[in-house]
Amino acid sequence: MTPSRLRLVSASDLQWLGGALALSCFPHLLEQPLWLALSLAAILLVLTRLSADQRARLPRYSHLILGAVVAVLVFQAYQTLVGREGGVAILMALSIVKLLETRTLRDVRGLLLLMFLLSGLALLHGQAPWQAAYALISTLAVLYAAQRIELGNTLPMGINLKSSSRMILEGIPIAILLFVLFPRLPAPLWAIPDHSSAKTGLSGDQMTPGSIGNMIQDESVAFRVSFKDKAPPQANMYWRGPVFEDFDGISWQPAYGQNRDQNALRFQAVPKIIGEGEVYSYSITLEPHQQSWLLALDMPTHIPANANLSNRLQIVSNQVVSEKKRIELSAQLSWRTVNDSPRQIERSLILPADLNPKSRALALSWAHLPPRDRVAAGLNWLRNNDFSYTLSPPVLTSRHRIDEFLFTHRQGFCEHYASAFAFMMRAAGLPARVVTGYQGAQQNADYWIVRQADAHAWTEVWYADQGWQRVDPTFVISPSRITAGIGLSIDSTELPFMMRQDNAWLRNLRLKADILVHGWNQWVVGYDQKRQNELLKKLGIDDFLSSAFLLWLIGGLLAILGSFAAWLLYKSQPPRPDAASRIFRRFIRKLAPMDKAASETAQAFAARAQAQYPHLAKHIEAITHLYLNARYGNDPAALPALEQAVRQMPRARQP
Amino acid sequence: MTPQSREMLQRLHQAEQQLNQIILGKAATMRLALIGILARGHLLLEDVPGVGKTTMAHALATVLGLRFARVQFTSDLLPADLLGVSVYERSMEAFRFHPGPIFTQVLLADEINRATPKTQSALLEAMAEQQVTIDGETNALPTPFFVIATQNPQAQIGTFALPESQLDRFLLRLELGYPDAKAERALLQGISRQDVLSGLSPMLSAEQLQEAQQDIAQIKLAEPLLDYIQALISATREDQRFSCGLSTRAALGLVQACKASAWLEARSMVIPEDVQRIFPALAGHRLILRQSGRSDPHIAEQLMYSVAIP
Repeated sequence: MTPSRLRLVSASDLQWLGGALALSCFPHLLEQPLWLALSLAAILLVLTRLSADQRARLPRYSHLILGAVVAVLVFQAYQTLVGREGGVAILMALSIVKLLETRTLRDVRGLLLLMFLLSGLALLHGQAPWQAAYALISTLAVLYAAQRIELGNTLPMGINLKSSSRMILEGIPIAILLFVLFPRLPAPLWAIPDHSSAKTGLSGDQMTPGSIGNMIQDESVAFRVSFKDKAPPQANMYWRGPVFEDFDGISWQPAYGQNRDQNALRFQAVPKIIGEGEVYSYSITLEPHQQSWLLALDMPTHIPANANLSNRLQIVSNQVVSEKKRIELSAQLSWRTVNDSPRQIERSLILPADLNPKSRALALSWAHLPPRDRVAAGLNWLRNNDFSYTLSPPVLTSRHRIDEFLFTHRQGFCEHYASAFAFMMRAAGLPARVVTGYQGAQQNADYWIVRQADAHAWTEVWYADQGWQRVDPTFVISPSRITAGIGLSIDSTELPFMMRQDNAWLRNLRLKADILVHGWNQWVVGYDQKRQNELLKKLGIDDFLSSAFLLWLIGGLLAILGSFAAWLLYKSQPPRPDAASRIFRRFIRKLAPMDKAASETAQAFAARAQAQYPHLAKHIEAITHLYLNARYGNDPAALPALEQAVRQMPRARQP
Repeated sequence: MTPQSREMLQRLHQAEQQLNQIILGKAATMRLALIGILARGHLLLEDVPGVGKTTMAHALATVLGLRFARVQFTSDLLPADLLGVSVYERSMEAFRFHPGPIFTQVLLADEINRATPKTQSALLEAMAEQQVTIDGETNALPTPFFVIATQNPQAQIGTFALPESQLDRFLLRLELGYPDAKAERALLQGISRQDVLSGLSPMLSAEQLQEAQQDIAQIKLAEPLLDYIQALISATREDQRFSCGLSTRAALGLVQACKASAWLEARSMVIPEDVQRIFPALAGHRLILRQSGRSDPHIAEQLMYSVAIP
């Protein structure tokens, strides 16, 4: 007889195996270049449909040849067979080829293990809730196929599905324990910079008119915010991002470029922020934007670890944000800055020569006023000259773009106003710069969502007594943009769906789904080394080498396995007998070595016992009568009497 | 137990005594027959000819004070022969229904498996609904109404086996079997059974029988016994030897019969003894063996002893 592991598998088994393999490969195929994904899928399909006859006719080394072919294909796509992308691709491709040499149950088992691995590896491509759900589903499919093949297709479909699901459910407590306790690495192993992800959201490189207007069409989430105690009014929710200082007549650029030498300069001579008024503590869960700057409520007074305040009062992370990042911050809504660098202030007065003469002339007329009155005069001028707020302003083409905007079209979006206002203030002799970021937020349950469409630009001016202060010229043109958000301030057809005011129910549904995503980000994806350390400290674990850690890990595992074992024992036990039958058991034990057969009635047993022990006949008869009354007659008096009678009866044989 | 029911019980015991005088040495079977009647069930007597099946049925009807009719089932028996016919009566210028032998209280259907399925199924409605429908008109049968059917298990030629649906309508199947030597000698020595039969006197009336049946409904059935009954029923359903297990109707019948058994012993509650007394007679004809297509009362008994009493 052949051992079971050498049992040949049937064609239908192979089809099930192929189906489960397809499910576990699917998320990986989505990540491949289209030509590679299609060819691997085609190979998988052909191998699954191959009949036993056709397999037998294939040359002996066909699986080696096919393996070499897919390796070449994967190398073609990635120029490597290791690393995150190439490694996963070659593992998947070879798993597919493995189908060709799967003949016995032993081969199937090997392939099944690979499929479990592939199902889990799908989370390398992303860790959204639906991706985790898919990983569970493909694991379920692999389990289903495993049970079907191992048990020779004897289980009905429903029962197999049920027991496969149960296996997954039973694994969940252990998964949770390991999730909480297993040492986290400072950064995930797979956080190798990855060429495919483009930078999204605000640009830190430059700001030209239209750069923010284009973002209005993007309703994707930029970040989510949870305030610890209370949230500030929406009109004060200015989320500070990149600051721009150099203007060339067309676009605004930051003071320092992104290269390493200049980067170091950003943290020299940092001014000090002195906050006033209420402190708002909050945490931001930032979507990956592949930039190093972070966003913070204006003005940040507490900076998270792993990040620094730049001399432009911008919070910059030590690393590029390539995955969801959770940061803890606090802010105060009024502030002054001290120790501002004189060089920086000078730089904030520079204007391109010979450009925009009309605007300069206008601004020069305010130059004699005190600084605050210059700002007021500028805002007043904007307010009184028929400016309008629109997403589709006429394109500025002339050399003097600020003049063209201020004196010809008078239609623009926030970046037009921020840029023109900063220009005028500089011309009027007041240091000014442009700050970009987001303004406003949408409340959903207990947190706030900020979308790309909330992107905004405003102006900052410098006063000798208070330092850098925010001035938002857009507020003068369209106050509702600031107080009520972008959705109420412009024509809805120009807006993406989630920013509009119609179809409330569908939007509500999506907001409800966002609550799930937010919770997932907070508790699953955001559970990083720092949070793990905090949690483990509470459990008395200081480091992973301590005995406390081992105690929790091993104790937890034992507790879970032990409770499963206890539950199984409990399930397999017959229900606890009622009082009457327990007492009757005692009576039977007194008559040892006689015993009652399971299907013997009390009376039949009594008759036998009376014949065996005539001297106890009276006891036996009375006890049997009481037992029948207590157990079947619901006679409450019989039970105590039975107990007494059994106690009084002597043992049949003295030990 | 009220004095009335005590008196009724006494009368039933006297009736049972009379039965035991006429069918010698079959006390347990007589008890089961009484239980069947008290539980409002129909009886199936299965045995070889000449062991007193007909005598027993007749005696049962007589001592219980019930009207009795006997129909010999043959292959040419038509439903109308059993149920009755409508005949045009010239004097009344209308059809008049002439009730058949089924309009009685105890119907002895002798050799039921000799009749065609059509006639057997005519009996089916009568047994299940206590009514017959002829020419679209429904006529109620007298109450109480019992069918005692006999069949010969050996002579299979020229017979139509009762379908399972019909077998399920018989509460109990009883076997008489040959009397033991002592009883047989007494039979041989004694006077003719016909004479004994004609000397029997009714011990109670049809009304009293119904009162007894109502009394029986008061018997207690504790939870552990329901557990036991359910365990037995599910054992028959899980056993792969049988083409199908016991129906819910059978389980209900078992409950009724157990109560009747307890009542006949002047007990106020059912005990496992009652279940074990009845189960083989109740399950025997319902459990058809998959392999042979026949039933075997001993297998039902075996199965019963394989189930633990909870």
